[in-house]
Parts: sequence; C-alpha cells; structure tokens
Amino acid sequence: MKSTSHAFKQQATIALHDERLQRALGKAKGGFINKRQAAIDALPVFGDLRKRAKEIKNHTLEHLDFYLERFEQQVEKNGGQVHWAEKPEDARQAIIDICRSVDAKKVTKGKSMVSEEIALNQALEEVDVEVVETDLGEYIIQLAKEPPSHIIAPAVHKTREEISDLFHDKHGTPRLEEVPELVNEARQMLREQFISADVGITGANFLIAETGSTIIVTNEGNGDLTASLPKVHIVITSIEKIVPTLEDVTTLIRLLGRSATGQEITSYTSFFTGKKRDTDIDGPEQFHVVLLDNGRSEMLGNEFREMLRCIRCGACMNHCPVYGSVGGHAYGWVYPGPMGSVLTPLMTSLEESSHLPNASTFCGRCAEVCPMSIPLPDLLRQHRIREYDQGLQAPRAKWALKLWAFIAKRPRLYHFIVSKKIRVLSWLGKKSGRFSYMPFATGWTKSRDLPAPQGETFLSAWKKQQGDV
Amino acid sequence: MINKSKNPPYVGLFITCLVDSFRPNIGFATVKLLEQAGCKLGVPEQQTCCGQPAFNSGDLEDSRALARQTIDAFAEFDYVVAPSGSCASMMKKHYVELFEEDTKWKQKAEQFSAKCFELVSFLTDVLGVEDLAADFNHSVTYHDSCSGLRELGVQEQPRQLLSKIQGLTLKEMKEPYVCCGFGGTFCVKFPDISTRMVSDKVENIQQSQAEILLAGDLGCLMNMAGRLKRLDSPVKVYHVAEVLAGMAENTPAIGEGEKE
Amino acid sequence: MSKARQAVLKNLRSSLQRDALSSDATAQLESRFTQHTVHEQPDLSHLDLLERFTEKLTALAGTIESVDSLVDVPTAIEAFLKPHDLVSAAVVDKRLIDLPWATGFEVSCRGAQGADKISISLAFAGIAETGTITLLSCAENPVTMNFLPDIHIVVLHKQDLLLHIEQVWAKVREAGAMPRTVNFITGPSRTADIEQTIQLGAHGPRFFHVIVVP
Repeated sequence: MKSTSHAFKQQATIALHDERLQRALGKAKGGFINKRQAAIDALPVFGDLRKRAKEIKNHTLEHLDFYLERFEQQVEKNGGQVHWAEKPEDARQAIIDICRSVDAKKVTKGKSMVSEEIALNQALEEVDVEVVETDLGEYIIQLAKEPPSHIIAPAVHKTREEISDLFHDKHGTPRLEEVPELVNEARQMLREQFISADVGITGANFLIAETGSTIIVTNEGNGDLTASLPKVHIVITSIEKIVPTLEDVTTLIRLLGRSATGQEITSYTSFFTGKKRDTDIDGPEQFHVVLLDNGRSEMLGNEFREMLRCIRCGACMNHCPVYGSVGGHAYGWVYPGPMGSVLTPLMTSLEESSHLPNASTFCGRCAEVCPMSIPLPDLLRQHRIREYDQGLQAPRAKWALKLWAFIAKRPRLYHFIVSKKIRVLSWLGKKSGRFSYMPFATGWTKSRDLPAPQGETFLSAWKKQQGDV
Repeated sequence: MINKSKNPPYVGLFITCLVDSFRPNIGFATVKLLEQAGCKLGVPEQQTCCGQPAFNSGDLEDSRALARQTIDAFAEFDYVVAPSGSCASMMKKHYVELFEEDTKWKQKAEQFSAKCFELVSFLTDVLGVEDLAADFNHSVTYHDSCSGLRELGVQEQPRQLLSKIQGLTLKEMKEPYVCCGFGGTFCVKFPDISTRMVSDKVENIQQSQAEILLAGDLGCLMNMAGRLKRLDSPVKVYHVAEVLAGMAENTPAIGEGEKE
Repeated sequence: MSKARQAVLKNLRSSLQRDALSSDATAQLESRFTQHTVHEQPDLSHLDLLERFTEKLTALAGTIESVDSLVDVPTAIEAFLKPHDLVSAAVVDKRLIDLPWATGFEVSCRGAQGADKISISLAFAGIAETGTITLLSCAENPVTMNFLPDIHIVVLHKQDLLLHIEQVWAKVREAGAMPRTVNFITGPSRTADIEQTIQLGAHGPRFFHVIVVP
C-alpha cells in the first residue's frame, strides 16, 4: 500500500471535521474499551499470563532462527512448502508464481494485514487474478476501494448508512437498512465465491514451530472457508509470529481475544497443519506458507526488538486518545495508532512517516493495555531520537528547543532572561490573567487562552524572601 | 516511611520551569506543605529544567547535560521533591536510561532516582501525612496527569488527602485518567488534535458539575484552564498543592485576573 | 527461494550476534517440544465441567441439551430442527451414520456442499473453560461440514469434556499427529463489522447446537 503518512497533519484535520467518521469512532471506542476491561476483570490470572507471554516471546525471539527452521521442517513433513521472502516483492512474486502454477483465476482472502503490507491484492489483479475479500469488514472496504482503518475491525470508520449505500450501489440490490439484512446479503454474495475460488489466501495470527501449524483466530467463518474449500491454501505471514509449542500458543490465545474484542475465545480458532491427508475427503491439495521478513530481522538486532512481541490485538489503538480522535486513515498506511507509529517508519521510511512518532503525548495508555508489555512510548521516543540525529525535524521547532536547552544549561543566564520575560508577560496579562493571542504560540491561542504568569518567578521571589530572612 | 523522630528530612525543592515562570504560588504552597510535615527545605539555584523537552524531542545530548546539572544541583539533599508528575518521572524513571553507557553517571542517576518524588505521593507515602489542617468549601474534580499516574502510580494519594480537607466535596469526572492533550510540544505541533482532546476533557469536567478543577501538573492545568476560559466556563482551576496548603482562596485561579 | 532463506537466516543471526546454534544448544531447545510445559491457567478446578461448558457456550449463542444415550440423538435432533422448518436432510459424521435416523430424514456421508442446510458431527473433545467444541478433520467428518451448512449440530460424549484448552493437546498427541485442521468452535458464526453490532450467522453456521451423551 502506498503511504500517505507524510500528510498525517492534513489527514488528521480532515478526520476531525468528518462528522460521520466521528460518529463511527465514538461508537467503536467505548465498546472495545469496556469489553476488554470486563474480560480482564473476569480473569484473575491475567497479570501472570501477561508476564508469561512476554517470557515466551522473548525466548522465541532470542532463538528465532532455530524456531523458524523447525517450523519449516514440520510444514514440509506434513506436505506443505515454506517460501521465505526478504522483501514485499519476494512475497508477492512467490504468491503470483503459486497462482500461475495452478492457473488460478480467482482467489478468496481471509483478513491479513501482512497482505496489505505487501500490497498483494493489486499485484494479483495486475496479473489478471480476481481477488475476493471475504472478511465482512475487508469486503466492505474492498467495495469502497479504501484501505483498512483498524487492524482488527477494518471498516470501523464506516457508519451503517454508508454501508447501506455501498451495498445498494455495488450489489445493485434494493437498499437495506438493518444490520441483519446487510450481513445476510454479504453472506449470499460471498457464498458462491468461496466455492468457486481456485486459491484461498489467509494470514496467520500465530505459527507453531512444534507442529508446523498456522492459526487463525476469527468469528465469521470466512477464514475457514477460504482455507478449506480451494485446492490451494496459501498462508501469507511474517517471521515474528512463531511460537514454540501448542501450550505456548494457548497462553497467547488467552490474551489475544480479551485484549482485542473482550472475547475469552472467538467463535473459530483454527489450526492448519500441512495439506489434506490421503484419508481426508476435503481440504487443500497444496499448502504454502510465505514467511515475510521486511525489516523484522533487522529489528531483532536494534532498539525496536520489543516491538516484535506484538500479537496484533489492537488494544493500543483502541485506548489511544489520538487514534480515537482521528481514526486509522489519518496515519496513511497499513498499521495505525501507537503500534503503527512504531512500525510504519521501519517498514516505509522515517522521512516519509516522521509525523507519526511525534503525534503522541506519551500518555502511556497504550503501554498500560498492551498484553505483551511493549513499551510503546519508549519506542516512539527512539524514532524521535533517530529523527533528531538525522536532522529530520522541522528547523524552527528544533532551534527553539536548542535555544531553550542552551539557556537552561546556564542557570544564571536562564534565571536572568526568564525573570525578565516573565515580568513583562505578567504585566501584560495582569488584569485578565490570560492572553487570547500570543505570537509564536498561535497553535495554542487559536483555541485556548494562555494563562498569564503571576508576577515574578518563584526563584526570584524565594531569593528575595531568603535575603529578607 | 521515614522515622520522624530522627533528623528532619532535608528536602530539595525542584521547582519546575513552568511553576517557576507561571505560578510561584504553587511553589510556596509546596514549601508550606513540606515544612508543615516537618521537612527542612532548600531551593538550589543551579536548577533550571529537568530536560524532558529535550528528551522527548530526541536530543539526548542536551538531556544528559541537564540531567547532570540537576543531579549535581541536588547532591546535598536527602530527597528531591517536585510539584509535578512529569518532571518527577523524568528524574526518577528516565535519568537512569540516559546513562546506560556511562557507569559513573548511571550510578549517580540511580542514587538520584531513589530520592526523587512527586509532591503529593511524597507527603503520603514517605512522610505519612494523613491529615491537613485546611478547609475549602467547594466541590472539586481531579484530573490524573499521565506521567504521575502511569509512571509513578499517583492516583489514590491526592484523593486521600483531598478527602481530609474540611468542606471539600470530590465529584469525580468521567475518565479522569484520559490524557488532556497537553503533551509538552504536542499541543503546539498538533493543535487540532490537542484541541479535540482538551475539549473532550472539558466536557467531562463540566458534566461532573464541580466548581473547581485540580491536578498535579501545571502543564495540564494551563491547557485545561486555557480551554475552559476560552469557552467562558466558570470552573476555576488550581494546582492540588494550593488547595492542600490552604493557599487557593486568596489567589486568582489559573488563567484568571485579579478581579475574578 | 532458497536465496531469500539464506539471507533471512543470515540477517537473523547477525542481529542475534551469533552463528547458527550448536547441537548442544538445539538439543536443549528440543526438550521444550517434548516437555509440553503447561503455563498459568484460569483457576476453574472447583467448577462442574458440564455446568461451566453450558454457561460459556450459551453466553455465545450456542444451544445445548443432554440425552440419555446415543440412540436418543436422532429424536432430539428432529425436535431441535422442527421450528427451523427445513428440508429433512443432513450431512452426517460417518461415526454417527448407524444411529436410528427417522425414515424421512435423509443422511449422507460426504463433504458438505453449498446447498446443504444441516450437518451433524461427532466432537473430538469439549473444553469447559471456554464452552468450546473441538473437531479434527478426518474422513468421517470433513471440515466443510463445520462451515458450509446453516445449522451445525455436534454430539459430545461427556467423557470427552475436558476442563482446560491444554488438555485437548494432550488428547491430540495421544491420538497421533496433528490432522490437517483442528477447529475450536464456540457458538455460531458472528460479526461486529457493521457499527460494532453483533450479528450472528456471518459466513459460517447460523446455529450451533450441542447434544451431550454419556
């Protein structure tokens, strides 16, 4: 997907004034937050599971080469094939080659953020393969020709009215108002697609080294139909999703549903291991796992390693006040919110996405709710450090801060200048106690008054007091 | 909890650049609270800024310089107390991170960190203050500033002390723990988003029907007061220390002039 | 793409600041695969398995009943299907084909097709912790049976009702290797993709009914 992260500020402003979007975001936020809280309140061992999950993932990352090789061995043992992909183009090519080898005309897809990361749909369409998104949220945005705005609920930015309009327009059917009717129409439309697809492509929430299994955690059943009906099942996934054993993955599964949607378990949690067995009546004859790197092996060796623990639950963005105000599209790429602000600069470029790590107050709510204990504000700060070192910051802001630091490192000069400036400001603001306009601070005074200083600085007053004493 | 029968704790007041410049009354309230609780106080002149703006802008070099300056300025004290969760957490949690590669300064930072505290939690958790001889006949709502809350665990302590103030009614707002949108340079870099966040916060404040807004961080307070005033709200804004020290009534609230 | 494989492994090892692990180191790691260490679990030891299973399954819109024996299953199913007013035909798990099905009730053993309305499976296990049914893909119960029809009915032997998820893995290992598909199913299919409103019957079955037998 082509990034528009450089336009974050404009996109955010548009989002703030988009009434429909604001209504949709308002509805979603409370639901996700309250449901997660209820699920966690009902699970006394949640804290222990969190600690254990961090340990499991850290152990796995420390031995990632071993576990990936073992996974590959097991996939092959069960009649499957693993395709390693260093970059997005490698992954796209591997998938195109598989589709070509079976003369595929139509592909059904379960939801996969990695497939967005590599811009798979467009690549397939360019070689005349029809791509049908089957997850309802993904189906909706495919019809609307929009990117996903949330990693769990891709169409969270759409209101019911918008979806009614969309279905009426694209399906050519009478306009439906109620949710059950809309869902039912999507079910009817997609049924035939599942059955007639040549290839089914899913993602994977986790990969298990012990058994060579890939897992999808879903509610709709579309992922399972995608994985089980066509002759070929391709899993597009990434190298950090691996977990050692079935027991290890069970701990993570207990955290994922609760953190994402407040569910103890989803309607369907499915484990796929290799191709169909000789005794099976249905199931795919070919099973392929495409393992994408795209910068993750580099993250393993630098200050962003902890980000590799992410299990893509979305809790961070659900609780982020910035995401909650502007929605996912403002971020301009595949992954939004706090986790997206860490990943996007690493997977696209820091230059392209420099606003993202800055669009944060470091309130810390994301880190608080992250089931994998990822220190997201610290990682965002690491990007700011890189930006500073690479000279990517806006010059005016940078020099204002440099000036501040210069003065602050010289206490006498600092106290002299500050007390003078404050005297002037407090004199100017004495009567009303505030300014409705302040040059160089119009970002503030456009919507807020600026409280005036009380009088002299504390340190001047204190010094005087002590002098009197 | 310290043993007060021994020598009085020698506390260095870290005034914070905002309090120093914009509202010394908070500083004097802090002094009163600490002396009332039996501390011997000092205010070193060599303090300016804790370095957080530089740190959050990725300028590690200046952060380290300011950290060293601050650590040295407070060398003689048993404790370093700041009327601000964000400055206190910068000093307590992040100074150590700045000196990972520097053994000498890492150690100094660790020792310094052990003696840094945010004001209200210092009063309750270290000095064991349980009661305050102050009254304030108003309804009050309390905003939990992010750093104090999430980095230092300051949440119960201010409510505990406020409950001891005569005549004070606490009216909790909806989601007091959600960020007000200040975030240091964030509010001027992303003013539209910041305005949305502070407007949401103001709505919660107004819904609480409290007359007074309190918090422990002047940055947050100025941000919320600024928006409240722009919207012509009658809600008055003070730092929690001012109320706890009985020094709120005779001073104009934040953002108000002498006549209001 | 073995060039990519080499490159990725090389990058990983360079980030980990080491070469490929020695055989001693890998032997240690291998032990994790044989130990199957179970980690922290919710404490549910005091609960009645069937009560807990019922509570969790019904909270997620599944339905459940108990019958005295396997031979009572066809009648129970007939009663369950009555209000649905569908064609009396079902795709049935081979292991259940010899039950006394009513003469008007057409049963077949095959993969499910788009037109099939009802499927009847035999559960590998039930998980009381989450109200979940576990099904393994096999010749007797092909996977399509679990997802294509509108109504999915599952027969569960009480002795196969386990407490925690991890116990299923122990059972799978006992039975042999992992099959092509292990399905954990908890209630009917659902979606919340339209204004966060939960709607049952997205792409998978609209109804999920469990019949517990001894």
